[in-house]
This record gives sequence, C-alpha cells and structure tokens, in this order.
Amino acid sequence: MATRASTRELAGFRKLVVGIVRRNRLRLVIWLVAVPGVTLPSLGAYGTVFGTETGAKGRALIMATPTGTIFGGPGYGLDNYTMGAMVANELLIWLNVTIALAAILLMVHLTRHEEDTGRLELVGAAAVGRAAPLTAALTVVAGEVILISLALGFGMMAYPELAKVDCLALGLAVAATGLTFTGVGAVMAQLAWTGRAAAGLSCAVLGVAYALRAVGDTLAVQGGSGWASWLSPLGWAAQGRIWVNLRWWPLLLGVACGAALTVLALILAGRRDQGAAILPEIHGPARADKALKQPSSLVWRRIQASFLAWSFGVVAVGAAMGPAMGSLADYVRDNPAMMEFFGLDKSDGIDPIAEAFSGMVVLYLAVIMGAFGITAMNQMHSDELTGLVARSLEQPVSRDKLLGANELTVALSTLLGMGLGGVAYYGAVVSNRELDPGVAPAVAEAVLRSFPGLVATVALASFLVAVLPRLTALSWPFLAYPAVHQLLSTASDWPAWTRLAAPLSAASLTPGTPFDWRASIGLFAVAALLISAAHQRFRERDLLA
Amino acid sequence: MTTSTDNTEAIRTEGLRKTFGKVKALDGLDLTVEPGQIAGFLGPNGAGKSTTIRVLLGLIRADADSGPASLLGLDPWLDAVELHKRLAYVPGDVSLWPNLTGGETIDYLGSLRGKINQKLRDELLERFELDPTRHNRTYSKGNRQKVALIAALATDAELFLFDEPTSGLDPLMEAVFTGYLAEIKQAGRTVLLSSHILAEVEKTCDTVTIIRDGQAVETGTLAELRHLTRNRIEAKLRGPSGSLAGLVGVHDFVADADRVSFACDNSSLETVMSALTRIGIESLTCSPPSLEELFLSHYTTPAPEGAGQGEV
Repeated sequence: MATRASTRELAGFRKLVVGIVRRNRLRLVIWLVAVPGVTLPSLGAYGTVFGTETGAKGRALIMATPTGTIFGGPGYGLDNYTMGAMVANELLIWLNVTIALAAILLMVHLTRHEEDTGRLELVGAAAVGRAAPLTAALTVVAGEVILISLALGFGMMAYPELAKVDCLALGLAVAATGLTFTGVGAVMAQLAWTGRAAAGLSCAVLGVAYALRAVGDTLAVQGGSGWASWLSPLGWAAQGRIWVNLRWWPLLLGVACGAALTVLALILAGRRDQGAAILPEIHGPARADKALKQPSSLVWRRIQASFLAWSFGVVAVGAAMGPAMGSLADYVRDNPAMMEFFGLDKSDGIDPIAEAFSGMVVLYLAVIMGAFGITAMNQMHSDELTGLVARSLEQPVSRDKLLGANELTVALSTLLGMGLGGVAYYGAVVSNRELDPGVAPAVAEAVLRSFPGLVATVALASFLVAVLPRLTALSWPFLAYPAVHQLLSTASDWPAWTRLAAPLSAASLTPGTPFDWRASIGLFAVAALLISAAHQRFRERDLLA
Repeated sequence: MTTSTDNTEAIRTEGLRKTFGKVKALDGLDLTVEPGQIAGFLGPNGAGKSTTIRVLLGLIRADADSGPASLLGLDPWLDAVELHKRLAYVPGDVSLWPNLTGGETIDYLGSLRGKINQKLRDELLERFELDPTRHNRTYSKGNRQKVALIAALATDAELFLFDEPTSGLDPLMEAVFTGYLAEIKQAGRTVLLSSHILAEVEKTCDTVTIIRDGQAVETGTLAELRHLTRNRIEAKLRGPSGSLAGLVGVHDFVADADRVSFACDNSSLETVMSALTRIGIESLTCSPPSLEELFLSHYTTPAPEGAGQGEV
C-alpha cells in the first residue's frame, strides 16, 4: 500500500521533466553555455598576465589584503601563487555565486513562479502526483547544475598548468554549491507567498553565506579563528584547498547540505496547499502614511529594500577593512612590489601606507554605492516599461517633477549609504590602535571626496534612462572603470588624463593627496549637464509604455 | 457639477495622427464628446483605442502634422498637469507598485491630486469588496482593476477616461461599476468608455464612436447608428413570396414554405413592407440591429474608402 501511494505521489514525473526541459530549453541552454563559455577562455589570463614570477607575487600581495580576501578567498597557496591557486582563490567564489544564482532563479521560476501564474494548477489537474512537480523541477535544476559543473571541470583540463584531479574537484565544488542553493530555492518556494519573495529570501541566504565567508576568511588570514567560514556553503568550497593541498571532504558537505534541503522542501511541499505558503502573507496598512504623498516618497518606497541591502553591504565592507590595516601596513612596508603598487617610497611611515590603502577601500565603498545608485535609477526605466511611470504621469504630476524626484531621492540615498559605509570604515580606523590617530580625519575627508563622483554617476544613469533608455546598461562600464584603472594604471604607466574617463576615478579618493577641487567642480558641472539634458529629453519624448 | 466653459466639448480631436515607426496607429481620428455625455469608444484590438487615450493623457505626443486635440478646452500635451487635476483615468491593464498595499495606492494616487473623498473611498472599498491591506503584487487582475477604479471614482473629476475598465471584473462587480457610471452621468460629468462589452456600452452610453485602423468609421447616438444598417425581418405569409427576393434593399433572402427571413435596408423598408402587405402577413417580427451586429458589420468587411464620412 505504501509503495503504491508513493508511486502515485510521483505519477507523471517523467512527462513533467520532459515538459519542463522543453519549455525552458532556451533558459537552460543559456546558463549551460554562458557559464563555462565565459569562464574557460578567460582562464588564460591567469596564465599570461600573472604567469611570470613577479607578476604572480604582486598578485599574491594584492590578494593577501582584506580586499583580496573579501572579494576572493582565504588565500591558500599565496606563497607559491600558481595558476591553479589563483583560479581556486579568486575565481571559484564567483563561479559559486553564479551557480547559486542560476540554481535559485531556475528553481523559483520552475516552482513558485509556475504557481503564481496559475500554470501549476493546470498541471496539477492532470494525472500528476502531488510530489511530482517539485521533484521534477528539482531533478531538472540539479541536472543543469551538474552539467554546468562537469563542463567547467572537464573544460579546465584543457589547461596543462591545472592538475586534472583538482579540475574534477573544482567541478564538484561548484556542483555542491549549486545543489545547496537548488535546495535553498526549493525550500523558499514553499515558505514564501510569491516567486519574487522566494527569490528574494534565497538571495538573502546567498548574501549571508557570502558575508559569513568574507568575515571568517578575513579573520583567519589575520591569524584569528575562521569558524564563520565553516557556516557558509561558499566557505566549504574554498576549504577544499583545490590546486594547493586538495581535500575532498569539505566539498562533500555541500552535497550533503543540498540533499538535506531537498528532503526538507519535499516535506514542506507535502504539508501545504497549492498556492498557499508556510510563512503567513504579510498584510500592510489599509491607509497610506502621511509621508506617502509625493513622487519622491514613492521612489523612496520603491528603492528602500535595495538601499538597505546595499548599505548593509557597504557598512560590512567598511567595518571589515579597518582591523587589518595595522598589520597590513607592516606587511606592505616589507614588500617592495606592494610599495610600488601603492606608489610609495621606503621612507614613508605608517600613515601614507594606511592612507593609500584607505584610498582603495573608499573607492570600493563608492563603487558599491554607485552600483546601488545605478540600479535604483534604472528602476525608473523598468517602471516605465511596466507602465508604472505612466501611472504617476496620469495624475497631475509633471515629467520634470517625476524625473527630478527619482534623481533627488536616488542621489541622496546613494550619498547617505556612502556616508554610512564611510562612518563604519572611519569607526574601524579610529578603533585600530596600531594606526596614527591622524589618519582618521583624512579618511573622513576621502569619503566626502567621493560625493561629486557619486552624484555624477547617478546623473549619468538618469541621462541614460531619459535619453537612451535602451542603453541603460552603459552605466556599468563607467562604474567598473575606476577599479580597473587603479589596478592597472600604476603598473602600466597610464597617462594622467585616463582617470577622467569615469566619475569615480576623476578625483583622487586617497586620503592625504591634495584635494583636486577642479575635478570635483568638473564632476558637478558634468552632472548638471547630464541632468538638464535628461529633463529636456524626458519632457519631449513618448513614454515607452 | 459645472464645466469651466460652456460650449467647450469635453473631448475634441480633429484628424488626430500618431505614427510608430511605419505603423499609422492613428490616421486622422475625429472624436467629439460633449459635456455630460457618456461616450462609448469601440473597436477591435489594435484599432487605436489605447493609443488615442494615451495621446489624450499626454503620455505620448501626436505627430507634428496631426490635427488638434483638446480636453476640457486644454491641450493634452502642454497642459497635462492642469488637465489631470480635472480628469481621472482607469487603464485596462493596471500595473501597480508591487510593494504598496491597495489602500496605500488609492491614497497615494488621491494625494497627488491634492485631496480624496475619504467617505466615498471607504464606501467604494466596501462596494467593490476590496481588502486594502493586501500588497499589490498579491492582487489578481480584477483586484488591481478595482484599486484603479476606486482611486478614480473617489475623485471629483469632471472627465473620466475608462479603457476597458471591467475586463477583469466579475458580473456582480461590473454591475457595481455600471451603477457608479449612472451616478457620474446624473452629476453631469463626462465619460469616455472604451469597451469590448457591447451590452455594457448599449446600456450606458449616449453616443458611440467605432474606430478602425486609427480612424473613426461611425459616430453618433445609438439610434442614429441603427439607421445605417439593416433590419432583420422574419414573417409568416399568407401567399407565395413571389418577387420579394428580387426587391431593391432585400438581402440574404431565405424562404422555407410560408416563412421568409431576410435583411432589409432602412431606405427600402417602406416598399418592402407594402409588398409584404400585398401578399398578406400572418405574423411578422422586425428587429433593429443590435450593437453587436453593427459592430461586426464594420469589422468583417474591409474598411470603406473615406471612412469616417458615414451618412448620418
């Protein structure tokens, strides 16, 4: 009887899998081609650019900084930084984030989203077992994750520098992370009311996993305890020490975790009605708050959640950077390559090193908040496409007022987030007793120096939304440019004017360097020009929808 | 309720043109709605109804060589803000800010206009049976439509533009809406109602404009429009139908024993009736064309040349 019941639960499973694959073939093929297709050819860069011994050493020094730890990994093999060690330390984390996002988005799309649109109801009405749709979706996503991982693992074997066994281990590490987040997506799809909420909750889990690993690895690099990394699926992958001193068991943790979450999702699915959620639906106020009566207050409501997430990130990064600075300064002073990277002389004391490093931290904080500013401004573009901009303009609201409300709210919240990140970093610097207290005011000044660049970044995004709405993605290269510029300009002797190519590199953010008031005024002037062009065009053009 | 200037049409467009790339969405549209009228606006998908309304709302701009458009005597593009204080609009496909509740949305839209009638707002919530504490992203299409309807109906607008406002509503809710339309009319306010539900238009509208390929092909009161088409005549005769089928103005003639059935042009009604009388009539039904027949007759045949010049 029990077996009969369980086979009935899965009735139609095979047909469902075929149906899912057929309907989503484009989506599945894109992930499967894009992830290995972008990754594998670019691996060559690790071999050529940093293949020389001095190149690898300089790279290792950068990756030894907290920035390197936060954006890379715990730094296994930095003392002999081979190509494999680079891939494991720098690339693996991003492969894992990518596969996690793919798993989450696919899983939610195939489950909760199907429920939201009512399509699952049609399927459920057919001769299909109760557990079959979720099991089918799990099977397809897990299969996709494994295929991508195999492509990565076997693809990497094409590089003779990379030991073959470790290539397989890397594939397993990616698969384990993917399976874990397949499970996370499946569980959240049962808990949440909508696909959007399920994706949001799953991404929050990914964010926490990233933060735990970053904090744990940073502490471990400084000689502290890295236990926080062991709470994170992203940490397990790094602990496999691939291409350095391979150990398999941390990688298997992810597989086990994915299996456990899958079982949990199936149990939860069996306990709820279709269309219902385990978490209660959150109702909101029946009446609008007095504050909600202006386009600007509505913009704030639109971007609030994203603002909280990004400014949490910037505060976390700012706070994480401070503690390492004293020992980092000592470390840098002892390494000529690092001194050269920061453009410093041996005779400089502790402060210039701390200041140079602070310049890098402040730049990264500004780039993070700049990313928030761009996404927040681009929200207006997607709102235009979904008809929400029209919803405001149907009311007695002028186009200037609506665009201005977006620009002002986004610019102010971007600066506020930068201020918060700056305060967190400032606090971390002040509380670091190894540093000269004189560094702190210079850090505060550097944070303020980023403001004109951030305003110009938002203005550029606004210009694109209003004037070139099909090209809003053009904001991103401008945002990424300063980081590239900082990494490469000193080493390759780029002429000074190249820093003017993007808002956040135009004025130096390094504390202690002279304040470039001409660049700052120039940035405000460019921002004013972009904004006036944006308004001019937005007054004249048809709405897109 | 008084409009600002008498003698000003609530809506007037003459030769309205709007081109998207090579597609002529509006190709010389004439549309007039007098104050206090409920005007039906009919046409199949893609005829240009929504484009017209978007031009009237100043969301998109008519072509440079377009004829003029005015609402309440104002220019829909240049005076958009001033005009929007005096009109209310309900779209057919209502997108709403997903993280606001329905109640917040209604209040927000109301506060952009300056004020909202709280008593009417609460009454409308009750009549339309809408839970205002749910977030917009959890509402069905019909519920989102209710949010937009309540936000519009709670205003003191002089002019209402409705673009298929009941397409997601059940018949009970549709009836509630029709009830409010009657109140709007009683208060002397003006309505442009774009709809696919012909029964709704037939029941509520004073005038009807039928649009096709971006032009108005018919416009007038329902009574006037009925004159343009054929009556349906079914009769049981005392004698043989004889030459009846050959008379000018008789179409689709079918005879079955002593029963005949055919369509008859309005202009030939008199001659045909006297012919029938000569044969002898046992029973007779003559039905005027329904709006549906009117509508279908315009859409199942190719567009006539010089459309919009119908003899009314």
